[in-house]
Amino acid sequence: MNRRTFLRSSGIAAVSGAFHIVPARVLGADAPSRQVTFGFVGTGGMGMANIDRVLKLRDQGARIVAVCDVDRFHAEKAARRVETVQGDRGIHISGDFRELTRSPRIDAIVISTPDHWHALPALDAIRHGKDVFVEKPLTHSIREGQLLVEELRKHQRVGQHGTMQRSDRKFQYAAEVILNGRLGKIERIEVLIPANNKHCGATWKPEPVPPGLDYDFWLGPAPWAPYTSQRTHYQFRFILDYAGGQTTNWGAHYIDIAQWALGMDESGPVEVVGCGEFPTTGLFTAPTRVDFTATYANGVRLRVRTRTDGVMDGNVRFYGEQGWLDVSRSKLTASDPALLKIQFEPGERRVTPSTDHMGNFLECIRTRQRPVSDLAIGHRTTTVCNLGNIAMMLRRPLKWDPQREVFIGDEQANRMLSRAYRAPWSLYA
Amino acid sequence: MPTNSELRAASDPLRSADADQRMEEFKRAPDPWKEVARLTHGGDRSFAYTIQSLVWDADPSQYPALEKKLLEVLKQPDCTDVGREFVCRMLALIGSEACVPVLAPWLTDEQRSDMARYALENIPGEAVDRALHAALASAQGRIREGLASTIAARQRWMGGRP
Repeated sequence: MNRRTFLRSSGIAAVSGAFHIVPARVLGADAPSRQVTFGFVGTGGMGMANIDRVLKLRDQGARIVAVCDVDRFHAEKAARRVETVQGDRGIHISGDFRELTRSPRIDAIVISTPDHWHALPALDAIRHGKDVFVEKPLTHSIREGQLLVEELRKHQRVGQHGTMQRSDRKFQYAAEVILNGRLGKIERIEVLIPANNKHCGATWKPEPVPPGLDYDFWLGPAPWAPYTSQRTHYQFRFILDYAGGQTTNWGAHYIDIAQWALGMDESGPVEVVGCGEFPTTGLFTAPTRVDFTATYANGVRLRVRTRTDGVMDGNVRFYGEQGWLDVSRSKLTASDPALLKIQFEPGERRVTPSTDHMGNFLECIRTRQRPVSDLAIGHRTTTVCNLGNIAMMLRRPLKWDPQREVFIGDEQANRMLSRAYRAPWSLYA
Repeated sequence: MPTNSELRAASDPLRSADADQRMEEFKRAPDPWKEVARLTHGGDRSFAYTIQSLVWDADPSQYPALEKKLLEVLKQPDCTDVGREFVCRMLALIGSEACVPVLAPWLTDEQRSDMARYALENIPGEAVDRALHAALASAQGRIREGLASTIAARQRWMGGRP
C-alpha cells in the first residue's frame, strides 16, 4: 500500500485483521496476560538496537507485532529478527507508519527514524492513543517539540525520550551530586561531543534510488532533493534538512545530563552565543565544529564543543566551588576522590533509579507514571541543542525566554524555530 | 590620511601582500548573486553559502536591501529550481510582505508551491494570509494539503487568520 492509497482508505480498516494480539489497553493494565504490544517505526541501526531492547523484555510481557521502514530491506530484516527471537510468525511489515500508529492492536510505538521523521509518527501515534518511545533528538525543530509535548499531555499518553544515559548509574550519581549541592555552587559546565565521523566531497552526483527504498517517503516533510547514497542511512545526520549534526546527535545525550543536574528539566538557558563552523559546499551542511555557550538565569554557563581527539563519546564536566566532577559513558572522575564516594543523607534529592531505559518505558505504560526521560524533558534538552545550532548560524548573542519558548528581540532567530513541511505532510491534525 | 592598505604595508609587508592578493581574487570572482541562480543539485554551492552567511549576519536594517536582491534572483529567467528554492529559504528568514507579489502566483503551481510556502510560512503579515487563503480556494490535492498546513502553522504560532 503506498501513501496515496493509504490516504484514500480508512487507516484502521485498511489494517484490521493484520495482527492477532489483543493490546493491554483493551484488557486493562492488570489483565492476566499483561501483554504490551509494540510497533516499530524505523528499523535501521537504532531501530534494530531498540528491537533487541524490547525483545529482552518479552518475559515481562512485551511483544513486538509490527515493524515499519521505508527501506523494505530494513523492515524485512527486522521482522526476521523478531520472529526468530519471539518464536512466532506473521510479524506485520509495513512501509507506512500509519498502519502502525492507527492500528487498534498496538499499545506502544518505538520511533527510530531519521530526525526529520520523529515528530510526525510520534504525533500520529499519540493522537491515536498510543504510548511512544522516541529516539533522540526528540524533534528536528523546537516547535515540533512544543507541539509534541502539548499533544502528549492532552491525550494523556506516556512518552519516553531515547536519552538512555538517564538509566545509567554513573550519570544518576553525577546528577545527584550536583542537585544536592555537593559540588557547591556550580559555576560552569563543559560538554565535549565527538567530531563528525563521516565526510563528503565538495560536489556529489544524483544516483538511482536503490530497490526497496521508498525514497519520496524517506524525504517526507523535507524539501525534495535527488537520491544520493550519502543522503540517507546514517549520514542523514550531517544534513540540516534532516538533522542537526553532532550538536543534536551527541549533544542530546550530554546536554541532557547538564539540564538534569541543574534542575532545568522543565526550563532552559536564557542566553546563547556560538561560533561554530559549517561546510561551505558539498552535501553535508551540519556544523563541522561545534562551539556554543548557553547561559542560565542563575549565571551558570554551559559550553558545548567538538572534541578533537577522535574519541566517539562525549563527556560533561561540572565545575563547582568544591572542585569538578566529570562523567562519560566509560568513566566517572573528579578533582577529589571523595567526590566519587558520597553517601547521600535521608532527605537529599535522589533520581529515579532506572537501570533499563526501555524497561522503564514498559513499566510506565502499565503504571501510567511519567518515565525517567519524559518527552517534555527531552524537548527541553533538544531545545538547547537547537538553540546552539541557531546561535552558531547567526553568530550573535541571542536572548531566549524559556517560559514562552521564543527568542527575545531577534526576528530572524524566531523564524528558525520551525520550517515549512513539504506537501502533503503536516503537523496539524 | 594613509589607506588601510598603506598602513598594512608599512607594518607587515608579507601580510599586506596576502591581503592585496585576496582583494585581486575577489575582484575576479564571479558575482554570487548571479551564480546562485545557477545552483544545481550536487554542484558547487559555495556561492550560495556566501549569500547565506550575508543573510545570517545581517542587521534588520539591511533586510530590505537583501530581500530586494533575493527577489531579483527569482526574476532571472534562467534561474534554476534549486536556485529558486535556496532563495525562498533565505526569504523565510528575512523576507517581508514585499515577497507576496512574486511568490503568491507560485502557491498554486505544482512545481513551485512548496518553495513559495518555505518562504511565506514564516513571514508575518495579513498580505501573506490573504495570498494563502486565495490560493487555497482554488487548490486541489497535494497543493491544497500543503497550503492548509501552512495556514494552520501560521494560525498556531503567529495568530494568523484561520
